[in-house]
Amino acid sequence: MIVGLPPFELLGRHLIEGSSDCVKLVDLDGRVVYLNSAGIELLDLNCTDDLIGRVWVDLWEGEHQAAARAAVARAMAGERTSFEGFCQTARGADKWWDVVVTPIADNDGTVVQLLAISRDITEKRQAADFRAGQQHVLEMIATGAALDVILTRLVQLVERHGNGMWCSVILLDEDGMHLRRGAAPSLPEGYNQAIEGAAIGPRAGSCGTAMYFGRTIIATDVLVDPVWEDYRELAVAYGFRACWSTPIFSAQKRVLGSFAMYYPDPRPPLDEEARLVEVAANIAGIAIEHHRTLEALRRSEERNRAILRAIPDWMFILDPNGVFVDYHAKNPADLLVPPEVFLGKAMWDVLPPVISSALATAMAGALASDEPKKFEYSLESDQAQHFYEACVVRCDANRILSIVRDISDRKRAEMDAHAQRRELAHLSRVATLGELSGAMAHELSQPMSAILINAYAAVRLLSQEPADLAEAKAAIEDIISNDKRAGAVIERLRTLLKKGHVAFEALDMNDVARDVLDLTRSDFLARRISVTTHLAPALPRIDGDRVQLQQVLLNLVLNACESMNANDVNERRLTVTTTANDGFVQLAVSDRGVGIPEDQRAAVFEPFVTFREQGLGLGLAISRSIILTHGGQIVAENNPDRGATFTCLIPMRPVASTM
Amino acid sequence: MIDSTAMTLAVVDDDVDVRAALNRLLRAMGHQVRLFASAEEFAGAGDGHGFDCVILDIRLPGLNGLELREQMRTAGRRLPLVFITGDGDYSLGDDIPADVPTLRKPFDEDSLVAALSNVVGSLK
Repeated sequence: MIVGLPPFELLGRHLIEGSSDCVKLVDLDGRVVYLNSAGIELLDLNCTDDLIGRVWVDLWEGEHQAAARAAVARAMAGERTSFEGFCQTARGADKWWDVVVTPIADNDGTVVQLLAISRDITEKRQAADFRAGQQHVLEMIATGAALDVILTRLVQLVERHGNGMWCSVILLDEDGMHLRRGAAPSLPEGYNQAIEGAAIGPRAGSCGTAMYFGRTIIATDVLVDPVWEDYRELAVAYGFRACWSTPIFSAQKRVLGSFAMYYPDPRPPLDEEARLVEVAANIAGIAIEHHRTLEALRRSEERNRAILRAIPDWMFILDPNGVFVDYHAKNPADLLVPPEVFLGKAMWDVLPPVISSALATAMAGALASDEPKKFEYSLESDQAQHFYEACVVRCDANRILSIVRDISDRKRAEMDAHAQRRELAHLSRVATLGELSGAMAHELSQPMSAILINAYAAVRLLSQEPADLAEAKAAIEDIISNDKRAGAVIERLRTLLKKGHVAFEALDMNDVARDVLDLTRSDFLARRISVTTHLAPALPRIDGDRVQLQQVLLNLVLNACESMNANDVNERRLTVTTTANDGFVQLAVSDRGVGIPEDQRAAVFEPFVTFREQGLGLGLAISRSIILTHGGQIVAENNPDRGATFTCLIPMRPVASTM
Repeated sequence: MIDSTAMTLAVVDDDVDVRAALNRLLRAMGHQVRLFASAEEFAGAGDGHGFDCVILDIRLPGLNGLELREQMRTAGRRLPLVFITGDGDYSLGDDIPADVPTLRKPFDEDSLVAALSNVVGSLK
């Protein structure tokens, strides 16, 4: 039994006044006639008079007003009813309300007033909204949306639930040292660009510092906070006064980036903001880590694809006697012969002799040295020539692996390029020889004269009484030697004009130099150029093509001559030097000419770049390509005092193979 | 023989084979011959050799044949000259004075004899 209770009406008043909800009484006209004190506070009012007398339904707007109107109508009809609605307070704060409208009837059951109790459910609504947003972001992660899209959505979600702030996600570069753009849709682009690539550190703004120490950094006022020292002007320029940043961690607690909130005023974070930034950093961590995992997976898939592509076309296993023991083919249909033709058979019985002996040599080498041995060969099939590269390695004492790959495409491209180069080189030689033709005529006219004059002399000597047989014999001997001399000039011309295949042989660069200088001797005379040679004695040999190297030197010499056209006669000096050092034979052509314009030094070896009045500008480009095929290099330098020096370096012939 | 007059001749040519051949032919003709491998060598030999004619190659290392002629004219030496040249199409030919007989290598015996008798005859 309840004893000593206050009268019921009094109890009701206490309950209403003490309620933390907004409690109103509305009359039959819909006007507010009573408001409790909690209501004053919740609606940001000064006193009850601010609301008393106003039509309650008019406080709501849009769909919410319709809900309120419906609730009132039903309550008027005696039904207790409720709805959720949105309504701003007097100071404009957004609020959600859970409203219950209860009819109050007199003893006759006639409704006389309505009781409207509104509970502030803003936080609950926001939390639900945030959860939905968060769920959406997580779904985006799961469905593999792009990282920047996910992070942008996350940032916007947090911004919507914050209080006039801007957020950003910054990523930590995989080098672990530099900031990379994540997502900051609301921050000024200029600011985002300014911090892109900045280094993290103990004073690198809130984000760079948070990543550096791996903990949350709160700068309540960037104007005074030491971590902002280096970025203060930047922050002020863009209107930031407070900024806190929380590191984003991977599951293994590795720093992946940071989540930051920026404010226009100096202030500390509210508890709910601190919570929000933690939650956001967690989600960002999941997104970034997921992205990195996918990225790593993609890379490894690419690697795997590359490995698959790199798998040789065929692998053959042989025993030391050259018998095929096993094979593997990427595409068995590509084998030129079915496996039963070679399995269990010796290579001598299966392969053409050239290939089997090359394979035998490679096998012997691989067995002896543990080093893989490579060789190339070609086979005819279906009227087409196929090129292969075999790499032979030792598996163990009894088994040898031969890895074979079809290199026909590469080989054909190489051969095309070779043919083109050869054609071009030939054209350039013909052009060069055209320039030389006057000198050639002179070179031939000397022995031809000597022959004719000696012949006349011989006739005279033999017609004399008595005939001078001894002198006539000497004349005829000179005819023979001069004829040979003329023949040699013609032979040199013929070699240079020949469209020959490249033939590498052991060469003495001094011989090459002498050949070319012989050919150009009369040209030097005509141009009044004095030539000095410093040819190193006992020069090591090189592997090279005589004609091609002659062409290079001829071209360098003619260029040098050309460059000295305007010189005084005593300044027309050309020096050809050969030396050997560091495994290279060096051939240098030095002139006293105009030199190479400094701005064009890099371009002298480019095709169609020329400093000469005549010529296609191909000479140096072809010279370089020739020297490169010889495994060497060609360098152009201006001399310190005057003119230029072109130097070719060609590797010496390996000593072991000179036999 | 066509010529009955024995002359003293200088041959200036840098090609040893051509020099030797001319020496042989001119001696077989009955002339006295001295050989020089360059213009400088000839100039260095001095004045007093009493050459009747100089057979002078145009293209020479150092001083060339045309320059040697100029030098001699400047010094007041008026020796009869026969130029010989092996140049092809691009040459010093444009500068060869018209009054000096010029033989293009290879030349035949008759042209040589004619050139010699011309210059020597015109002097006498």
